[in-house]
Amino acid sequence: MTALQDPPATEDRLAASWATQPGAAGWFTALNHKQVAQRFLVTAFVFFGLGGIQSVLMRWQLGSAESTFLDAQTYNELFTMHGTTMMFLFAVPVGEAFAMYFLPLMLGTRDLPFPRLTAFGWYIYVLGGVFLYSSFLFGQVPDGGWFAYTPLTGPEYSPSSSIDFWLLGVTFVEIATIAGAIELVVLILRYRAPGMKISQMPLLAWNVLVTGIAVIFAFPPLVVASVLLELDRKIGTHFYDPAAGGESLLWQHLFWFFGHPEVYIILLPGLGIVSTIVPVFARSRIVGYSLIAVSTVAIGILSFGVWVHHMFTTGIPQLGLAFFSVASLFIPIPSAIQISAWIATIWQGRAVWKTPMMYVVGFIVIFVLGGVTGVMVASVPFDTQAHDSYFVVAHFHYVLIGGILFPVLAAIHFWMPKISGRMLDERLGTIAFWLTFIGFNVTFFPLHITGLQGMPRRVYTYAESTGWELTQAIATWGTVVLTLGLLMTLGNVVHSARYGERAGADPWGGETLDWYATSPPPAYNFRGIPEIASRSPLWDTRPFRPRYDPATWQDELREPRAPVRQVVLTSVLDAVPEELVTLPQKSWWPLVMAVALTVALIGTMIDVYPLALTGVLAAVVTGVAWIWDRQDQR
Amino acid sequence: MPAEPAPVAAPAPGSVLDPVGPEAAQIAGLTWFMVVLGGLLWLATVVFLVLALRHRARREPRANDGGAKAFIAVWGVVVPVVVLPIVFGYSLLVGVDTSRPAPSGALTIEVVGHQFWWEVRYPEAGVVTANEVHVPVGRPVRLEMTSADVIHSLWVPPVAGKLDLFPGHTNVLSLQVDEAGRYLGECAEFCGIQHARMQFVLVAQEEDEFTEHLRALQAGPAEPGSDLAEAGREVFLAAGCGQCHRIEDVSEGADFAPDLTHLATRDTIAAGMLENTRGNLAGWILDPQGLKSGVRMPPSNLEGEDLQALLAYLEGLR
Amino acid sequence: MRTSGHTGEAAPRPAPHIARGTGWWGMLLLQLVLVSMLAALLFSYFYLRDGFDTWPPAPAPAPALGLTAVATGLLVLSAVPVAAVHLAARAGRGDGRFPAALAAALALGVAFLAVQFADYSANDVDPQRDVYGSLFLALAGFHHVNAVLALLGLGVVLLRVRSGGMRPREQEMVVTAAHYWYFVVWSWIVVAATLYLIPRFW
Repeated sequence: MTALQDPPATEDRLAASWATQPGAAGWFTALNHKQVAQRFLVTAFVFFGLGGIQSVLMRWQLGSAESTFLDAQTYNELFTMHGTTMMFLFAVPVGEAFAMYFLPLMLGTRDLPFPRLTAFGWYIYVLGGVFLYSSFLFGQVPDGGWFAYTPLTGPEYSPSSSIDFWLLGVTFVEIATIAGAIELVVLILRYRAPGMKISQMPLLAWNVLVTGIAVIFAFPPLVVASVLLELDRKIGTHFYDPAAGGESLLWQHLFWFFGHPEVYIILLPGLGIVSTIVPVFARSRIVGYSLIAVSTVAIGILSFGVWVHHMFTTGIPQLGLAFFSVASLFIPIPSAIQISAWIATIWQGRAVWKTPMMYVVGFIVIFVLGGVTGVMVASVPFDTQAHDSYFVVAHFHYVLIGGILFPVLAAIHFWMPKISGRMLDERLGTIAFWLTFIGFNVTFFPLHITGLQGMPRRVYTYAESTGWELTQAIATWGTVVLTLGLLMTLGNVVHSARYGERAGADPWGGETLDWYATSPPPAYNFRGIPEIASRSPLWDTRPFRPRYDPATWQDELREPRAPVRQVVLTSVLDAVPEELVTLPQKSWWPLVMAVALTVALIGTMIDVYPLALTGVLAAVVTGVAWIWDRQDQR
Repeated sequence: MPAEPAPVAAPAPGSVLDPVGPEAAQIAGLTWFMVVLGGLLWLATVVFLVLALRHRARREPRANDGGAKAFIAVWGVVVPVVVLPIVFGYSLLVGVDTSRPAPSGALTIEVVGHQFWWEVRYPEAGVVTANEVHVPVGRPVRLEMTSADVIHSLWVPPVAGKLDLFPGHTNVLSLQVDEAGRYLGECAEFCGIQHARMQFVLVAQEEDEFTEHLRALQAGPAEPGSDLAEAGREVFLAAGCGQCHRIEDVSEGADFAPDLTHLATRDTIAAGMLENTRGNLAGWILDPQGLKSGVRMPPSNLEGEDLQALLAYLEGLR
Repeated sequence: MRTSGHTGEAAPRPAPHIARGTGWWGMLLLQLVLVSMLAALLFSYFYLRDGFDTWPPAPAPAPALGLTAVATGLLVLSAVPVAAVHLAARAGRGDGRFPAALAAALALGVAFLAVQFADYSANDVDPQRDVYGSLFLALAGFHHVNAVLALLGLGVVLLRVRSGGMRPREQEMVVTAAHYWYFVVWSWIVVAATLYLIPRFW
């Protein structure tokens, strides 16, 4: 029997059918998950850099009392854009991007289920982000904070266009996120390699599955909330206007019904990355696979029960608060289970101290502290003190930087060899890790104390008499170290992509199928689709002997009779192969659709409604063409 | 040229952990409890992690270890299931205690949030003032709070937790201050460009001092004590100050600007930003946007004599 | 095991479970997104209504029911031909009557929208007057946008079936478009009950 990865001696129709057309046309019509996910990754890190620059400017301002480095308006714009960028344009897309790149590989398939939607998602993500950032060109930068509370953001108190940039740009990015979530959920349920039971799929798939479902329920309310606010601003409705029977608290309910799951939507892919890396570097199977999977689902469900815990100081009756406080207090249990499972796994094996593992350990140290302060702020009376103070600022940076940035850095060190085919420099990586870890803690730990000393968040300056200068100055110096560490990682990535040591298919002794493909993987990922019978396919079952009806469809996948892109669709629970589906190879419609919608957006923004209508009609026509265009797949 | 403003008027904000009232004291106790308990749990987790990293299995394991599963059961389930209800129960007790409505004898004060200042009313005494809340030491106080524009939040860290001020709602914050002193009050909910400069002074004083203060505010405005001040009153009206600022018996004002009837009794101007001195007042009148960009007060171009007269008048408003 | 798409011509008729291909799953998840939006809108409606003593806020009377009853009837009726086409397609049957059935559904859907718009002017719905009118716009607008998109979907399916008959791709499109249309029908019953009945009973 020939190995699954060997190419045929004759003409390679598989490679030809997955090849991208050369040139600019090929670039704009490309649909393959790895190409688009790489764009997502690069874009997310560009936005991370922008958000980072904003934070450095703010830290410089806060490093001394009564600083005049930034004025009030600029500071308010910066923290609004920093929060918006990090939450909407970095943290959520970066998790999806890693999932889009690696889950098809880990699940043993060749692409995402809706390749045109993948490309469309990236286009509107970029265009939405550019739209939001174009506010700098017009001097109308959003300044209402990343949760944009009404009535401050309503037509009366924010008459300029700044909030419109925010609402419309963010809505675009949300649509991209929802599109990505739909892709990933269908991928995980229907595209797993034959034989990979749902109880055998990598834990990252569980995390992304729950994340995707959470996105599907949590993001639409924010889209609705944003549209209602935009209607208030543009055509004079009264949803959030107390003078005409509206209610500003409605915004808070809708926003936090999104906003609290959002935290877990950001966090869960990070936990999945950790669950992927820990066994490889502990050189041990994960302990408590089922417990981790179940607790991931539990986190997803519980995260919808706690939105009011951002509203403890709004005057909601104490009984209601107690209910939400209980829900908030239960969320730590599934997290504690996962952390214990990782520690147990590390203990059980023989840990290898490499950079991905360093970031995982850094993550656990930071994230547990963020969890402790999380339990504190879930306590209603303590929250009345901590809410909207620097204590909360410190808390959520521990949770978010700990919960997603450290796992993402671990993922970069873990998976860059797969993406580029070359190893990162381990020594440089170690120095960068320590700078990042120390810099992070020096930046954010002191802010807990500043908060308890009574400093509210979102103040552009403070008097010397407040006594906040010491901790704030320490934080600013910590940021210098943190930035240095991150820049060093950037340098490492850029340098190694060209000069790094060759990685080979499996430099770490990996557990999952991504390490079975070559580095970098070919567009079709796997020549023959591996058939799976265990949770650790690379540790247990190589070579993947065909178990299902081997003759016809594996041959067809290995060497298609016509130049079409085919993947195998399998059943939801047991991954029994059901049919071969043909995927589109290239398409202009995603780009055209995204541009049409952007035209509609700009028309709405500048109140030129004929332009907006043109965009909408163009989008509708494109949509029809998109649906129609299915014969065109060969 | 006005003197350089000296932004040192407001007192330092106290610490959450250095309480001066029963509400904050209870919360401080809860805070310490959670900090110590949480800190220990964090430390133990880190110790376990380090031990796990140093532990060397004899060979790469093929099957999972029973001890490893027991660890998850204890550290992942049993410990949180025991600890969290304790934290929750303690929180509930403190929560019920600190949110209890003030007893009937409590002093009621109405606070209205504005971008970016605080309107303060004593309904029983019929007094209106701004940016300074006086309370008697040891007596429960009910703050009935609402907002005239956007959402604000009132916070005096060593006294009590914060509570939001909403347009169209009244939220009630019950508190009590047990130590005489001046405390910094802050706006904790982002409310626009000068959110950082929306502060007030909470003055806790003995009962007789408080009564005297209230009585002084109850009286009408002081009559100008000199010809200069008399002229200043005319400047006040002629320059249009009275269109926004109310001075009892002098001008109607509007509801978006602070009442100045007893301006001179206050320690600060511009919502806790500047000490209430002649120089600061002059600087504020001439160039409020330069000092605090985005406030509603327009600049004025009063010339020397008019300005001196106006300052003399305002400084006499006791 | 079966192949479709390019090799579809040679493939046997699809088994019933194939009706739940990726298109079906995509539509299911899209419907969950829409349900979540609808829930957010309904939450807004009841949350804001709760702030009033009388609803609609005086002096407007509760909306008249006549026209919307007709419209709702037309919409429910439109589900019948859609369901017929859907079930036949799922069973793998092609049928010469499909274009006529889809055209009837389209006509009923358009008639529904026309009657509803007549109702809005008759009931004097004004989104700018107060929050009651604003909510009317939000809920009805959400529904009608989906109705228009679903009608377009049915229209595309109609053209495809007319021009090429019922192949596996068309079958999947019929299933997907039909599920979207069912959402339009049932969500209207929820929306209409909220907009037209709540003001009478609460």
